[in-house]
Amino acid sequence: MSSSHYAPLPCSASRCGKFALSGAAYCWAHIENKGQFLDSLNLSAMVDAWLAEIDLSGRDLSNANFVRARLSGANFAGANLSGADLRRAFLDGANLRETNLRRANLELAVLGGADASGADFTGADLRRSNLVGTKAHGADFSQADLYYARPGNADLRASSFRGATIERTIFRRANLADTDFTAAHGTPNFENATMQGMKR
Amino acid sequence: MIFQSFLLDINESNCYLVASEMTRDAILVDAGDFDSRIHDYIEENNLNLEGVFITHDHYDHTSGLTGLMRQYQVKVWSASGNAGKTAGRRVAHGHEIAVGELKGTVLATPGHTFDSISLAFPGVVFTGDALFSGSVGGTSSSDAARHQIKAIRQHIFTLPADCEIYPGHGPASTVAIEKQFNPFFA
Repeated sequence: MSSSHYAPLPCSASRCGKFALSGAAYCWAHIENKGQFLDSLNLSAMVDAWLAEIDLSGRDLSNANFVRARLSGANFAGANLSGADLRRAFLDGANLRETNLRRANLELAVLGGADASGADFTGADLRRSNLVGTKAHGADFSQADLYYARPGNADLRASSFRGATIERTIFRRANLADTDFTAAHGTPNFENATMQGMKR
Repeated sequence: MIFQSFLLDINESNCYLVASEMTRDAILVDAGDFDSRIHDYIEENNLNLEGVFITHDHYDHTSGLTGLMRQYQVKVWSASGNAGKTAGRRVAHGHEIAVGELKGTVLATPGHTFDSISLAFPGVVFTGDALFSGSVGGTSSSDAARHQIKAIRQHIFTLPADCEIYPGHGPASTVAIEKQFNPFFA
């Protein structure tokens, strides 16, 4: 239950100011055999792991358990995270381009500043998630639950929210041009959002 | 550092627990409620609950104090010294709160209330209702709003970019995200 990721070990490389990844002596940039490290990961037990900047692009990570993991700046481009448990995970600045996040649990996850363009969030649980400044052009949030999520200042152009729950979702100053909110339900906050071409 | 967050029913406020892995000393940040999950976590992890830090004196951050103090002898730190009508200890900007070997520093972040305070540990800051993910706390006047923005810029945004922000409501964030994208600042 306890989280100790606030005291990760420093990277063993000289003059590196970053933290070592969980289960390694080095940060991602300084791990020599990256393939071996990736193969050693137990994807069902990544709770609280420190994996900042790790490159998991294109991998099958379906149903992986990353609860509270530190994944800041990680590369998940094209990866399959469908059904993954990412509750309270830090994905700030992560590359989620074209990532499959169908039915993933992202409740209270931090995706601020991430690039999720073209990502598939269909049916995902995004309740109370931090989407501040998230870039998600053409992403699919169909049937997703965005209750009290915070996509303030997010760039969500041409994304689909068909059938999504948007109760209390705070789209303050988000770019929602050409988005599709058909059959979305709830009372969101669209304060100062750009809504040209929005379909409701 | 042992860290745990609890999402409470009361206004969906957050309660956080910070503890030392070495000494098992622990504190809570805000106490909108004191339910069995918090009690059980303290007991199951063999923690010594030493005190409660109150970010501001609103019921959704203090209503758990009475129940908590029935079970634990704790110090209550707040800006007024009597948050939730409990006799506690007054703290102000710059004061240090020790949790075992961990040192927290009190930061003045007035605006939502005239005496709102935050608590920063290395890598983590608890901002109460002063700063949220993508938002700031509601204020009663434009003057208070200006003070709040100024205090956040001075005392929160000067923390390291990767410092994690834990607000009184809603999800966590980082200094980098809020500085770059929060609509009240960006």
